[in-house]
Amino acid sequence: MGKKKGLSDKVRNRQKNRGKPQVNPFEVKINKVKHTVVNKKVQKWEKGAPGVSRSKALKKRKDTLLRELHHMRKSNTLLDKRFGENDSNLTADEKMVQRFAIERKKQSQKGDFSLNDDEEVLTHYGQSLAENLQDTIGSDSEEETDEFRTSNLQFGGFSKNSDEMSWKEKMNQVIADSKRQKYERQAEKEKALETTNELDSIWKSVVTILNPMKNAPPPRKNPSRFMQLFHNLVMEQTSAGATDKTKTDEEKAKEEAEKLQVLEAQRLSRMKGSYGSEKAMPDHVSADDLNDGFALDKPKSKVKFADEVGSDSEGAPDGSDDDDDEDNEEDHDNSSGDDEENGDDDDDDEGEESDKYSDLASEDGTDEDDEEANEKNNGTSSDKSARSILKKTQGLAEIGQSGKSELPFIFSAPGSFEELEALLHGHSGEEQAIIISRLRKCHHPSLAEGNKEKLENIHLYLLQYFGKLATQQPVDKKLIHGLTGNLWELSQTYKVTTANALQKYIVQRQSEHAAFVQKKGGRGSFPKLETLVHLVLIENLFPASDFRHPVTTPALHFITQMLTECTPKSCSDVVVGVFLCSLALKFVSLSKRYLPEVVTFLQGLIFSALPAKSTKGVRLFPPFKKTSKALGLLSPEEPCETLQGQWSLSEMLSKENTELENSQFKCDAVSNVTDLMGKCVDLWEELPSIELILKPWLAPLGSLPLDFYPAQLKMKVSSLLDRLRNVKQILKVMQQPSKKPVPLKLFEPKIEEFWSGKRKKGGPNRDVNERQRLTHKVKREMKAAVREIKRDNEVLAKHQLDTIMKKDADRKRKMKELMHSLASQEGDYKAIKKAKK
Amino acid sequence: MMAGTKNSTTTEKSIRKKTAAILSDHKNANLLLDILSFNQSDDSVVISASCKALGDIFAHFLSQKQFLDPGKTTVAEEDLSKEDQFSSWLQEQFTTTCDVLCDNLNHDQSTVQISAMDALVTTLQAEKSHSTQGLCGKLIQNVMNQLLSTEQDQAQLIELLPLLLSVWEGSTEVTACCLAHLKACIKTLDSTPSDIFLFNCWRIIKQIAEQEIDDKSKKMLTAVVCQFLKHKMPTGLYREILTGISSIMEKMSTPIRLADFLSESFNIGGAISLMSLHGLFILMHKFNLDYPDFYKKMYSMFEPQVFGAKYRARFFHLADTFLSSTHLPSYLIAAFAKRLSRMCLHAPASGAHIAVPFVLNLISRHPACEVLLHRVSGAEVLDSDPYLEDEEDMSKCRALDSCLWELQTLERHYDPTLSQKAKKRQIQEEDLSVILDNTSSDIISSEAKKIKGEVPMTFIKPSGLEMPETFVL
Repeated sequence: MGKKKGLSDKVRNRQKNRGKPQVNPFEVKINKVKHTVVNKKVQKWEKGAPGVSRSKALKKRKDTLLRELHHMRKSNTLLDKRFGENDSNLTADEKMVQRFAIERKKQSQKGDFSLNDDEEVLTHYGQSLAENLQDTIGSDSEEETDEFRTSNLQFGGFSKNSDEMSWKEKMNQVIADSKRQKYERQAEKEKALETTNELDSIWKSVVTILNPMKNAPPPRKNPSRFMQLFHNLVMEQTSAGATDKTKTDEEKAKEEAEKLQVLEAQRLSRMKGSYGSEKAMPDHVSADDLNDGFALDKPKSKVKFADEVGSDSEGAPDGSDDDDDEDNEEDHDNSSGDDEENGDDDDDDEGEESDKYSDLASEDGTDEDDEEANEKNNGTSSDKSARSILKKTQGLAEIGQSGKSELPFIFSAPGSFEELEALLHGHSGEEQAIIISRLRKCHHPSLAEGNKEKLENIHLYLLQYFGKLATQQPVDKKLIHGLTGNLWELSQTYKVTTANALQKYIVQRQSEHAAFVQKKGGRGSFPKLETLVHLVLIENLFPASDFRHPVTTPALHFITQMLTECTPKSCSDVVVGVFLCSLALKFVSLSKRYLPEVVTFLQGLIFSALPAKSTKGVRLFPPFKKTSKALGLLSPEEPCETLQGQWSLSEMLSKENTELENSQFKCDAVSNVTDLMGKCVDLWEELPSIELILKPWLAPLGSLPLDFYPAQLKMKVSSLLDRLRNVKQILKVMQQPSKKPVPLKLFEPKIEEFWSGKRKKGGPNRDVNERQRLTHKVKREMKAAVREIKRDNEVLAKHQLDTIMKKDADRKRKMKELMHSLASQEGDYKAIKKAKK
Repeated sequence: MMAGTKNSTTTEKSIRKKTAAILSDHKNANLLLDILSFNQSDDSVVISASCKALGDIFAHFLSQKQFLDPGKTTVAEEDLSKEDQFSSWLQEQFTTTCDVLCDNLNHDQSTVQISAMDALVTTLQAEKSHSTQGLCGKLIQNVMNQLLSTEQDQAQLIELLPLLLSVWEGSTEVTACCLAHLKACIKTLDSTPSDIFLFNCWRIIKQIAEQEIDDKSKKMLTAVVCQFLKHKMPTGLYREILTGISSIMEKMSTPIRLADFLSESFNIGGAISLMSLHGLFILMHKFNLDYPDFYKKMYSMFEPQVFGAKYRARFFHLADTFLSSTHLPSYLIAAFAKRLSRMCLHAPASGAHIAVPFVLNLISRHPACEVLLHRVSGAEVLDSDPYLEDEEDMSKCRALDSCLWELQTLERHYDPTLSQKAKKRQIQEEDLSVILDNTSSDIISSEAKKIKGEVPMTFIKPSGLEMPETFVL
């Protein structure tokens, strides 16, 4: 049923259409489109009404620009503030209506301070009607009794005195109301409290059912299957996540082995020198990564391993049998540790591999110290571990009580090196070891705040003490060994501190050495025992196999510098020289890097073992010279029968030179040198130039005075010679890795595999993008501004022309009028003249 | 002792007073004799004070033109007026003063020597407007005689010689005069002169060579130097001569005459021949000296000792300049590259740090030598290195048939920087001057950088202090 359109609809439509004026279809211009697309509307930018918009712009200019032109050089302006004067949308009637409304509103508006705002005063001739009326009523001369009647009659009688409440009554009523409300509120509150209490009691009864762990429930008989399931679910919820079962021994061993494997792999990568670059590259993160640590086929992260161990130990079950478990572990560990220690002693003679293995084992076997170190590594400083340590220290205290009762168990942290020295002074080596270990335990970082710094300081003092021990006579070997272990464990925590301290030490020693060499004109002296021991400590604490290491690399450089700048002048120099060579070889034993200085120094040492007559034709390398004191230093005068075993560094260095200088020592030295040479060959067998490297050794080795040597040494020398002669490396012709040919520039279209539907704009950088966008915008704005200015000028010019034309036309018209009047005048005149005739 | 110093200060004061008196009034001129007599004192402070005073006084008189014209001196003394008499007396005093000052040049104390020299310079500066040639010549001769002392090392005074020479405006003539005297002195030498004399002589030559000299003196200088070098030198002086001779060569008229000397020292070997390289190079480069076996000699100088020598930086710098020519035959360059890389096998790290870039520089300048690094033709595998180490003739040492396996070996060098350099084998010319002065200490300080972040540690606990094999603590 069609509804007939009413007047209101018409008005509404008209108003709606007034916003956008009807466009004449003849005015619309549509841009030519290259490819028409079916079912696609003509886009906004494809069509336009140039005529309309032009006229619009023109009008606007006229309203603004030309007005400005008119007002130019005029100081006064007239502002039309009448309502709707500038609004072209309003018709004249509407304007008037609005204006009237505004006027009314103004009149009805009261000031902020008017009190009777809700009364509308009726007026007559501008005077309040009420006042007038009252006047008339008041002025009536009738009696009071009439008042009621008149008021009823005249004004409907709606305001009665009896109905009106007095102010007092009103207030009373208000008070009563508020009291009632208050009471109601109270009642409501009480009720709510009651209900919550009731609910609580009900909840408690429910909770006892839900949580059987806390309130031990009475033994239930024959639980239903549903209840069982329900309980299971409740259990699962409370345990919150899968628990770790306690690990079996095999699992632990496996974990330990895996950890070591990872560490070994890291060491290897550092050795190749690729560690740093690998580390610098950020891990690739997929766009779909939820950052929840879940990855499908991500290789096991190396760094995370330690954390995992830590979290494992943290996430250990909190059950009541936890402590027992730990005790069990400890028990087991202790026993296994003993086993391993026993095994260690047996394993000593075996090769490097087994050696390594025993080391691994000894780490996994747990002295308390080891475990402590591990805990520190893992960074767990929970109360639990602290408690266990305390327990251990107590246990140790008990042991200590039986043995050395005179040592206190708790030491205050020494504030300086002197204090530490004072603490350790006067105790035997073993006691000192105990004191140091107790010091460490007392100040375990997990025990108190600030212990970490204290322990760091203790560590530094211990390093200093280590150096001091080496200068003492005689050297307390056991203590040094014990201290090394302690230092290693501490250095695992304070890596950077240790590295800094030892690096500083090395640099200092090196600069001292360099200054000495400078003074002596290129000849240095061999270092003291303290320096040597420190170098060994560095080798023990830091991985010497690294391609580049802030401590070991300078240390190795220092060693080789000494080997090139110091000539052995005495037997103790020879000991130090041999020691430095073997230490340098130990530095490179894993990385198998080449040390030319060791080769030349060993050759020089062998040369000094030659008898004076057979030194001809041997080429020497600096620092050895044919005229130096080293010549004949190691050539024996009398035959020697046996070889002694290992050299004790501290004892040899404490001996006098004359004590050392005998045939026995010389033979031992030569034997040691030949051993080292053999080791060199082992290490560098694969170098392409090994034959050339070892060539200088052949001549002096060949002319050694074998007659003086014991049979064992003779064998050694001859086998070494055989080995040297047979060393051969096949030389492959050198070729540079072929360079990849630079591909030709291709003019094929660039195909994007995943096209998002938008062409990527701009560069890869956000800043670049922003800059590009802004420059583009500036360009466009510039263009628009220029265009606008042009149009403005056009309008102005046109206006000027118009005014001139108008003036001209005016003048012409006036001229015409004048001429016309003149002509008519003339005509009249002539007519009169004619008429006169 | 106290008395002595007190005494000397009082005399010093009196000298100053007397000087002031003389300067204020000519009538006090007789005090001059007192000052001259002070010059014979034993105290060095007094002597230097009197020297200074004498210098000041005569500078004053000379500027006042109190001196007689040299032409008038021929007139008999009686005929002279009083003023003239005074001036002739002054003249006499002046000559004695000059003698005294010259004597003081040979004094034991260096302070006295220097103040005497200063006094001479001030007087001569005042005199220079009416310089008397004869006086000057005599004076110079006197001074030279003192400087060429056979007993005392006059190095400090000789440093001041240019000051003296610069007094005269036409200093070229004076230099010539000096040279002439020097020449005469050297000629009269016996076969074994004292070392000190030779040292003094050499230093004077060096100072004179620093002056501006004309062609005539250049010739003279050449003669003097040649004459001088004929004598047998002590080793210290020999080195000094070799290091300084390049600057003198520029001032000589025919430096080619040094060729004998230089080639002889080049043949001596060791550090001496190393130092003569530069002089020889100048001769060859600028004066077309044809030195037949120069490169062969240099090739033989590449010995392991070079890395230890004090003049390592100098040697490598010179070698780099000699071998920088691209017109050298490739077999020669290859031989040098091969020999140097051979040396690297037994060189200390600081030496190899220079040598490896040196070798790579050589190859980069001579693309024909790239076969050493990249060989395409021929056998792929060789049994032994074809390069003949002991062959002295570079054309026969078969270096071009070889490869630089030494660099491959050095890739495994313990020094990370060196290892990287050897591994990269960057064929690109590098500025050697930056690394020439690198010592082991520099390398260590560059390796021992400040530690930041993580430091790798050993993960196996050492069982005590683990010593290397065959050693216990």
